[in-house]
Amino acid sequence: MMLLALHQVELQQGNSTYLYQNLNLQINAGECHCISGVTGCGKTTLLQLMAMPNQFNYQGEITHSDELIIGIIMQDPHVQLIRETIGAEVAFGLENLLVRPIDMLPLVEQALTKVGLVLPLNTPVDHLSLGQKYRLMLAAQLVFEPNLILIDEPWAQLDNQGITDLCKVLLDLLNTGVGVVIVEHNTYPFTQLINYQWQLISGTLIPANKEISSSEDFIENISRHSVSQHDIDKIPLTMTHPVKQGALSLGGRPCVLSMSGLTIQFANQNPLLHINNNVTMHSGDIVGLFGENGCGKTNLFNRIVGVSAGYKGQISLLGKTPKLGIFGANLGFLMQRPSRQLFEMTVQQELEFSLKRFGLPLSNATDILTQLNLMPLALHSPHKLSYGQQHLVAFASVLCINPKVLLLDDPFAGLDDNYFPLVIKALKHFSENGGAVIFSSHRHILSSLISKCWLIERQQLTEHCVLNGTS
Amino acid sequence: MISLKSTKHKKCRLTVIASSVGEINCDVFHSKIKLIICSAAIIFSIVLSMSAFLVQQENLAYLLLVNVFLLFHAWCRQANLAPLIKLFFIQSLVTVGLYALLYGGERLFEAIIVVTRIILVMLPSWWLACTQSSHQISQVLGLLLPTKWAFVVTTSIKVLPFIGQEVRDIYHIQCLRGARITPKELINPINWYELVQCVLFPLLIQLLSLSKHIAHSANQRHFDKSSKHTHWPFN
Repeated sequence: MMLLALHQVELQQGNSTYLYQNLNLQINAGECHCISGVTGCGKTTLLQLMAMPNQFNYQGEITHSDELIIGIIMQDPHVQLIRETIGAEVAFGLENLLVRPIDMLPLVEQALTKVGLVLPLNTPVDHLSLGQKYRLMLAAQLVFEPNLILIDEPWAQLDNQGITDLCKVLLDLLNTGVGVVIVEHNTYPFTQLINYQWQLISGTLIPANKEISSSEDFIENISRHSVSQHDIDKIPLTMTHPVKQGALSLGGRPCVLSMSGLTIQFANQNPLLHINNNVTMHSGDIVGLFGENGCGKTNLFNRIVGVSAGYKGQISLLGKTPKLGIFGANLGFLMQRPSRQLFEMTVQQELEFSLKRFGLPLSNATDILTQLNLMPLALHSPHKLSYGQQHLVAFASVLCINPKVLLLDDPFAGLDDNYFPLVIKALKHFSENGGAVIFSSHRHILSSLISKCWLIERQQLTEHCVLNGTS
Repeated sequence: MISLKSTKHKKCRLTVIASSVGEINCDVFHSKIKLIICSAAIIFSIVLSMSAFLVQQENLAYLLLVNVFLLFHAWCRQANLAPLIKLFFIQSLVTVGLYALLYGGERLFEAIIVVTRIILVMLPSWWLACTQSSHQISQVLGLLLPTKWAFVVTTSIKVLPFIGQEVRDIYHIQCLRGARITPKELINPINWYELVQCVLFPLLIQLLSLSKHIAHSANQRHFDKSSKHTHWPFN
């Protein structure tokens, strides 16, 4: 049964260029389509166009079947959540469909169980991690039983367990005849779900080769292995071992960050994170901070850069106790959802802002834009770029000041295979010139790049040396 | 289609939770009580806010006393008073400063009264947002206003803490990027423009984007299908 069809769809972007030209796609019940494409090619917009065609001024034909009920989960779940508690959030769709209050509870419980979010129904949404919010959003869609689900880049938002749970849910839905469209750079974890794989190139969908995994139980496969965006990085954490004090040969490199006896805890709550031993980072190090959604990675970053207090223990960054604004150009920090920092009229100006404030040469901006292959976007407004492109511009803006320490909170979210190697190359270059980098991720990635990893498990951060690291 | 499927699920689940039907009814009853309390709280906060403008100067102290009680109540409900106190401090500083600049020292008492009235207008709304859930406020407002308006009002209240967090994050990130917006630098009025440019402007963009996404999210979950709505009873 046909659920949704796009026939010869064209959508103009601005006055001249076309985002889509002669785009055709038909989605039938029980089919899983996966759409890939470079950052900024219009994948997210395509999902929005499918779900809400009346919001766009398009040419061509978009057909929704009479029975079509669409559920959509966008890249950033923060902006889709409406209510304060998880029960009320999931029930929102039911309220609008005039389901009797007394009948809501079992439906809400069932939807939450399906996505593995078994928490009290009055749990405040604010208390959930990003990954948990993503699951909540999925439950909020499943509760009104859509027959077509559109999902935007789940890999970037969910940890391995989250992806495993999502695959299980999607597999069940596909078996019951629900259609699924996934927009994703990294299609590997979804290989066994996908019936049709597409590449969005120059505004048109082109069939792509699908690599079928030989494993029978792909879900187990995902949970067991650390899958990354690059073949060279498919190295699980078994390649690491805990670091003993003084075990690393540092070659006289100065220590830029040390933390010891650290406990991060919010008022009236259990401790979020402990660091019992002394963990250190030296110039030239690239450290991976790994842990599942909600384990405290962002909170640790906020303490290191001095934007949040609320910890016991000792943090020394560049020989000082962290405090906002004391490090100047020696510290670069890329927050999650870095599009929030963009305010200038062009990408070039956005990079030049920090350079002007710190009295650094403006040519650094052009150098970094060239290095990251962003020169074609230099005169574009940063506000009109895609999620991934904005992320990249924000990354370039912290890199161009050439700090001594660079902290990157989930820097690879939304990056495609074209930009990913460029970012890696830029980080390598930065570290070879004596810069120290910490990046966070909810899965173990880039084992070939990092010199050590800080692993958060059961509220404990432990330092591990990577055996095949570059140190 | 939805109602048919929902009925199917309802049958499955109700057999499992049959023993707790009494509990559900009890929760629904408590929820109704809370709704009545929320209605009273809305009326109380509106009356208090209006009184801040209307009461005569000599009775302002009584009103202040009631508002102190509200502050205490919100604090007991684990509301974070620090941002509010900071806001009031800045508000007082700016207003009294402007009066001093324009009229000299002779009208400072008048400035303090104006600041007090402004604070007393804002405080009851803050108390309402801290102590009542936006969902319950929406339910009450839905009885008086068109559903869409009730949704807009309550969603605006709900996103206030989110906006506060966004302001803090953007401010911190721009400080780290070298913006001249630290408290010390903001003493110089020349740097106020930088605050507007690199904190308020991105915030405005975020809010516009947020409102668009929330509207899409609500409509996509069938908000615009009917003018009437039922309500989740377990708040």
